Amino acid sequence: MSRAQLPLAGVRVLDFSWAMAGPQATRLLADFGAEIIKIESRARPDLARTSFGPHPHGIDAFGLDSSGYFNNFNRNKRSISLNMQCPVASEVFAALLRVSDAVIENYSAGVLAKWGWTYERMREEKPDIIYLSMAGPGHRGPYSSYRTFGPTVQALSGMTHLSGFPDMEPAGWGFSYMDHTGGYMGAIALLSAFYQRQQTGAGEYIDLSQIEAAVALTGTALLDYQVNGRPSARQGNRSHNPPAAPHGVYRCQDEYDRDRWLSIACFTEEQWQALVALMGHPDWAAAAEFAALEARVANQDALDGHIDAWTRPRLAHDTMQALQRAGVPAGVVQNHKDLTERDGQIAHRGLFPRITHPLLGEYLIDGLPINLSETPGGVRTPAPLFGEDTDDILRNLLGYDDDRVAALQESGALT
Amino acid sequence: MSRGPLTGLRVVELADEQAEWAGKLMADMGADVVKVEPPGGAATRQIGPFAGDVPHPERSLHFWHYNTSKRSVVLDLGRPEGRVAWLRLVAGADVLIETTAPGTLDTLGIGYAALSTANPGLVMASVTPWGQSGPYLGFASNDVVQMAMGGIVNSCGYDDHDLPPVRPGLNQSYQLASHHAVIGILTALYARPAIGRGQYVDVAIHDCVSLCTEFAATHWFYSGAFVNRQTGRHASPRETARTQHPAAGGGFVNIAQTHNDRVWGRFLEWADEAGLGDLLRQFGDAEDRLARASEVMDCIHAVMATRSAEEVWHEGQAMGLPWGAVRRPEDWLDDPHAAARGFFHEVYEPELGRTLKHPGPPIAFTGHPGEIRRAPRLGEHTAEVLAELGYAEADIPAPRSIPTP
Repeated sequence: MSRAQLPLAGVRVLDFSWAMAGPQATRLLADFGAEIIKIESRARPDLARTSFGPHPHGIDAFGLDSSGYFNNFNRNKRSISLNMQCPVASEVFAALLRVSDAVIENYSAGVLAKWGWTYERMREEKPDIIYLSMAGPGHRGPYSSYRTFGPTVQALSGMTHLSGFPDMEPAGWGFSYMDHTGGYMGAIALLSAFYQRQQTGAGEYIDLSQIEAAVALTGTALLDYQVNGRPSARQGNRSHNPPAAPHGVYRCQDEYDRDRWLSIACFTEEQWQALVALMGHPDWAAAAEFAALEARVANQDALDGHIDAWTRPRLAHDTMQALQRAGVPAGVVQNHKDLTERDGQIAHRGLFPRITHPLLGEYLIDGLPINLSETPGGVRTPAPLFGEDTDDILRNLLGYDDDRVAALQESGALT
Repeated sequence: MSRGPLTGLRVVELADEQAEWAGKLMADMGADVVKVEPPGGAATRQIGPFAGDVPHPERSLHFWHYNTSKRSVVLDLGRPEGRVAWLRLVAGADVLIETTAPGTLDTLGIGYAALSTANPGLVMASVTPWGQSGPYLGFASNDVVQMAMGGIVNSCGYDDHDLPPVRPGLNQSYQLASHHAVIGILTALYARPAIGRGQYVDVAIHDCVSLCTEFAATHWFYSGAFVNRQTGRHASPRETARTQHPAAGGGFVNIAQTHNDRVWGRFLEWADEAGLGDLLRQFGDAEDRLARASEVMDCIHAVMATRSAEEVWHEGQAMGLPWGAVRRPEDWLDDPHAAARGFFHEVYEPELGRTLKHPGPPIAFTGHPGEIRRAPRLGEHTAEVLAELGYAEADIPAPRSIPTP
């Protein structure tokens, strides 16, 4: 599908974002056809190009173009090398602004302003420009100078505190959930601003704080504290609201000799009875302590012991299939081999396409989990090589001639 | 009264916990979101915790949180007059968000085919566990099953692998799907003038979770490697140094980037204040510190235990380090930073006779911050909305069995 048929065709975004939260936001827009121009510099290379692996052919195999991670999060985008610390780079950026819809960055507060580009200054070039900043604490407020990564945001917001077993230290999140989710919020922010601009003609400055985004995602914790005086607490793998038992993650056997787990969760009497039947009506299940949901919740430690004893010798995927056929909610704790090779639903939905990168080669890539019936998006091109589109953007988008491009090269602004 | 960015957008929501977050995001940003409930009330009114721990459809804190700024209309879709009102409601809407099982609405004659014929501009988003077709369509679903099957649980837990991996957070699979639904909806709305019509947006929770795994995906794609769960830090193919340490007073801190030369000197001075700088001076340059990362971390562990988590956070940031305290969500309620940003909105709650602080729209439009309104009582806006649809008062279909609060 050509870009013109894509739903965000015609949208142009100047993208200073790096690492992950910002690139996740623009990845979604790029998948739907927005033209995302990454503004990059060797003076300040994207962490995802350098330290985030894996680099399948070695960390420096192709200079700044060696990272598979970078390819995964920056497909469908373009790249211009422009060192904003050079004074002449400002002329180029101003020219880009005049033909663009939005600017996005996830630096700490003050970086863009230090280069002379506040929202007010951007509006002088493009009155209806949309500017999205995505700093952890946001750009206003007493902590605005604070620096964060995804794990810091998760720790500060309460996300880490709420994950793990109640009688142990927090398990937290084993990845930067808030870089993904901060990115989803960033995409929603830009799209909402586009909607507003369609209605009113006006641009906007959006000061997105990833910490605020994460606090908002902690569900009823804030209300339960204010209304019932109940401090927020980890629940392990159990469910207090709504109540369920069993509700946990249980050990199984695995064909590949890895540790292997299966989630099982019974919210209704029908689900529990189906589980008991599948287990062959063991004597323990008939005991009064497991007779009703309330009793099962109260005796969950003992219940979990029985369920674990039943699952432990069994193969995870076979057991999941048997449980689901019987009407019991169950799901294998899948790894990526399962997701890409074994999960029939994911195969049916084509969730992991393949992409050929000119230097790295052909690999699987995260797809797009949003299906639009009339104007579907998707993965079209690999991530841009560093500065790959510099010449094309200067000549064909900005109309610079040979002399001007040469002068820019001379100045060092294009490095 | 503040105008949010989605002011003017008309949304109908027929959603349970799988997509109430999508409607809430749009409503808090100014969209007019009409939540359609059955006569007995949405099932999510039965989800606790409850105010005063008294279960009641008007006292569910789950419902209060996930349904702010919406209007509630009771329609009995099992009855012809309810379906007529539904069709009129959706005919005048820009967006429909729904979470019914695949085929349910079509069987009643009120699904996408009927709705898009009556309203070609409609953008309809279905959020379901597995999508609209496929081999797992009959599988039962809930948050822990989704988080497990999508690969997130595989990355979360403790160093001790005798312990099960952990489902992190609560309801995150639903919130993941809701984010993607809103992105799909707003994208379709952007395209609507160009293509001259609305469209159907299909979002499966399983897809959304399976694409929210960061390094677990790229390690597998590019190296064929699995990640292994670790306490309080990224899952990784190889063991990495811990970043979560107990602080004085029972809290925890999350610290990173301590090894680099730029900050090591300042960190030593900071440790000196606790009388523990020499513990850290046994290590050499950055290379040596990296090579002996676990030993370094043990020493840092000892230093951290001399300060509270809040002190470590603020003092670390003063040194330019991206350190954080492991806070509880409620620690933000009286925080000066949240107050300076106006993050929390005070919302009057008549059931309690006082105001409660709700997180504001997490997407702060500086010119148009939006406004949070309390979640609606069951059917609170039925007469109002039906009057807007042109019903005379006498023609308003009587909702059956609305429980009195």
